[in-house]
Amino acid sequence: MLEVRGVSVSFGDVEILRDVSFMVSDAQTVALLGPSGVGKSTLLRVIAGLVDPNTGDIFINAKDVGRVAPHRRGVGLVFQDNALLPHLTVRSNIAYGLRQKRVPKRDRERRVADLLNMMRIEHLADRKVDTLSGGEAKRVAVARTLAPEPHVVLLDEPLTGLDSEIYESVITDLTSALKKSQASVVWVTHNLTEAKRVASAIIHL
Amino acid sequence: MVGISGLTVRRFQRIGLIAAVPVLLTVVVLILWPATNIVIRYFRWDHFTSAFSDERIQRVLWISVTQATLSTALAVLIGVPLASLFAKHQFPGKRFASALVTVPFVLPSVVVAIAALSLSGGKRPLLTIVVAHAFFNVAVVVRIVRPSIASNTTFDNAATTLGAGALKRLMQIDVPLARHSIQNAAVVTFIFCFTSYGVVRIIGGLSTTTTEVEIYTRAIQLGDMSTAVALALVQTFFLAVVTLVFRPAAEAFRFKPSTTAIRQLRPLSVVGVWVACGLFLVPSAVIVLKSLRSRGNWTTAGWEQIDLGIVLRSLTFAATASILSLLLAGLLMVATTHSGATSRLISAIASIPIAVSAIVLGVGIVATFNSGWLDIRGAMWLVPTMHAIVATPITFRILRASLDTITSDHRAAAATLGASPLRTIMTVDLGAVRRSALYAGIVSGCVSLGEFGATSVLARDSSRTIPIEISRLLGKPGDLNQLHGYALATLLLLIISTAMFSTGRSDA
Amino acid sequence: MKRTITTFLICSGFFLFSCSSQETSAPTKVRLLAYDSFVVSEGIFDDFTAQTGYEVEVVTGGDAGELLAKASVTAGNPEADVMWGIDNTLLTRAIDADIFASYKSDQLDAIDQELLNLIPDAKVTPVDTGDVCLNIDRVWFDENAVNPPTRLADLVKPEYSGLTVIPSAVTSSTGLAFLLASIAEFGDGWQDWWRQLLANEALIVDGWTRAYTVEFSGSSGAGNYPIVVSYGTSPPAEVLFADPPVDTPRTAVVADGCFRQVEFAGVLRGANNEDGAQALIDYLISAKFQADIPLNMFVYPVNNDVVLPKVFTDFAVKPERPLVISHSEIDTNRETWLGQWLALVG
Repeated sequence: MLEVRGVSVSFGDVEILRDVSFMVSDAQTVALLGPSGVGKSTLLRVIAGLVDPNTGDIFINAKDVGRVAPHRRGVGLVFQDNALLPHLTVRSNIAYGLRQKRVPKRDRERRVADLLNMMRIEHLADRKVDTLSGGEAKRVAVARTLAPEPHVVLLDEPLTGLDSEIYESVITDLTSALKKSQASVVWVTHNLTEAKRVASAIIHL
Repeated sequence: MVGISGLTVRRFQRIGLIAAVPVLLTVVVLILWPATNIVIRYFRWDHFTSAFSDERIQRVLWISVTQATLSTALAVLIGVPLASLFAKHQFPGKRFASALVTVPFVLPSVVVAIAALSLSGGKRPLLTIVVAHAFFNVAVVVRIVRPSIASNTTFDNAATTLGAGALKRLMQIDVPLARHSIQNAAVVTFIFCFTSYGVVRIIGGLSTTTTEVEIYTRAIQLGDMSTAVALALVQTFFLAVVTLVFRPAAEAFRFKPSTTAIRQLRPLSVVGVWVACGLFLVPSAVIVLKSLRSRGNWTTAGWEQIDLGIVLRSLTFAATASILSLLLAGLLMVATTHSGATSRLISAIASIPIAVSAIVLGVGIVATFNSGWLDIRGAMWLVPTMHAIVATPITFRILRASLDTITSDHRAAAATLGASPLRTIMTVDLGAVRRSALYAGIVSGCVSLGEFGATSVLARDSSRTIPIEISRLLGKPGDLNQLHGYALATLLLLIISTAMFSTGRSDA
Repeated sequence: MKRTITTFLICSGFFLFSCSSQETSAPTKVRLLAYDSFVVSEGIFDDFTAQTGYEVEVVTGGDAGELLAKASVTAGNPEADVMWGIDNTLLTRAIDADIFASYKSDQLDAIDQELLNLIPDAKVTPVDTGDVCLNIDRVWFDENAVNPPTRLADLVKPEYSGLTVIPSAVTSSTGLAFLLASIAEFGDGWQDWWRQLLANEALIVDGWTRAYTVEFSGSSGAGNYPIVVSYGTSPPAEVLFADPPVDTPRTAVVADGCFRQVEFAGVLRGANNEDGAQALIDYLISAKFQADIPLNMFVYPVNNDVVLPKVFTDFAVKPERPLVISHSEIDTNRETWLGQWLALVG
């Protein structure tokens, strides 16, 4: 469960977010909707602990995580440009979070295999990430984020830029994978139809 | 854009500072201290002022600046189009061609100088020096500029669809977008050429002398340390000004390299590229030929003389130096992971070794560390360590160039996946440079194989290394000695080329 | 891969630090510091070790000028116990820098008094001699039906125009010796002679290697200049190291107008092992060690008991009356002469 309480962020004189509050329960998806430049990505970074809010608090499973470093928060973030590590293969990218948690090798391999299967990218497992197409890269990014089983999953415009055919197949696999994860999901988009389709609640920014 | 919270930034900075300590300590103790010591001991104000009224020294300074400027211009003129070609095009034998261009940089200067002399016939020394220097440094330009151009291929493709020809794209897209990298490459090349010693001394003869050669002549031949120190100070000061004015800058635009943008080259152009890269083979071919021809006959006698012990010893030295250099460069990278004044200061201090006169440094070390537990003269680790320090700025630049593919998002992603700041540095930053680490290691190893001026005056075990053996053999009369010397030079060439070629794949 | 790298790191760490520890107690070694081109036969010091119990550790570090420059900045606190290779052009500078401790060996009988007279206060001991002489390419002179030059003065004659290559006096010790030869030969007229020599299209290059192995027509470099400044002992090397093998060298020495270089060894002041150093000096001038010198370093031994190898007696030239300038005179005038010479040729 995720709770955002009274978060405001400004960089210098520019106010990015003012007093944002909402809650997402387990296995629920909330869409953050709004045009470019209203601070949707910044809000995700605040939740993940990558940006300090000027005021406000973040609670994960009812615990204030304000002083918890990003790597200990258990928040997964799918970056808009995926941020796949260029020196690792698809498989190693997905296993990255599991390695940080020191998951034993056999369990790690099984989990990676499950995710490859779930996102339907088994055939890409040993590819270098800079050879992937946009849709393929997004599938890898989602698999990587879900691998360590985070409590909270944040997606930053995950489908922007995909053409309609790929869009359909990715959105289907993505929503079913999220549903399976039981995580609290925050889905950022500027597309109202998409928001209605994936989320049970919509927050306008 | 703020990528990481204050809490984490402070942890990154702390890790950086800890990593900086060993690097700074090494540079300060083994470079700054001995150099300063010599300066304090021998600096005389009247020598300093009289040095500048001396007509010969005025001319030496003038020639240094001229030849370095011309050499840099030529290296950039050849290097940038080549970099653009390698970045944007695919063609048969590309790996081999790009290895070919890099090999000269790591050849011992005595070998390059003699090859250049054999080709020029000793005429027009200034021109020969400029060409030899450009030949050396095209590799530097290609290395530094190529990744930047590769990251701009999207624009290049856009321009192609708008009907811009190859030259237009080079001048209007590659050059402006990669101008910071080009500037960085030019500064590094300028420093190398300005402080060049072996090439200038052998080719230049009397009339075309540069500062470093003059420092040597004054300090060693004439025993006039004060003038040598005055010149060394001027040289360091001048180079410091050059590096400060043209500070290393990051590219303003950086886009992801798109592999789909790599185009096939037309067959005619392939032939052109091959001819151009083939020119880099000519000096090497001269060396190979000299190892096999004597008095109009073919012979393998020189090759039969080769003592494998010397080769192995050289390789051990080079491997030690390259591991040390990688270690230093890796620490330096960690120390400068986050931009800021401290990190700029750290990288400035670490690049001091390139600008210090090798001769002054060599004598400085002997003069500084000579008593009690400080007496490290002749210690076996000293020579590889000095090689490593001198190679570190180069190693660091190579590693750093491949770090350009890493953005703050990658580090943020690592954090959300559970990696602590230290783990992030280990797995993301150091992980990303792993591929070029092999290449950087080989380059620094080759730098050590090529032997630097500062270390050639340090006493060492009489067991010889390849470059010392080459210059000893070439310094003796008799066909066999010459054949043997050139056979060793060819062997060195082969070792280096093979190493470069084998890293070509992972490096591309 | 990772493990290999770690193992390698650890190994090289051991390799480095195990060698850096310095011995402090009663010395068992003598360190001999020499120039880079110092070569002796394998095991040549075994007899010395058997006689004295000291092991000899040879360290090299640059050419003679570099050794002197380094020794000067650490006089009294030397890098080694014995230094080999200071020659008569550097001797005064070395003595003024006070780098040597006096030692007079009691085994000097086999050495010419003339050489011993060179040395003030027994600071050093002569160990070898060599002569810087003009070498000519015999084949070239035969083919072109020109008589080879027989003395320095000949070089400015029109028939030798564009035939001579000379290493620079500023960057090469061979070149310096040749400049001194011309000063000894022509006295005050030396500058005038050099002016004529340059007008006669002599080529001046940085050092011996380029002059002899690249520009000289008689060497394997097959250059364009049949007259070169080299050594009286260069022709034997052209036979010993010929490929294909030859019976007589293609080159010959002009015996007139040679400058004699005498090299010295000395006990460094402040040596860690002074007893060992003195014993080593005795050994360096012994017939056993001296006999090893000619074919390794192509110089003449100073010990008159040594029988020279045949190739030396056949083809090398040791001039009866070499040109000489005292080392103190060299030192007083070196900078002036070099300055004047540079002004002429630069």
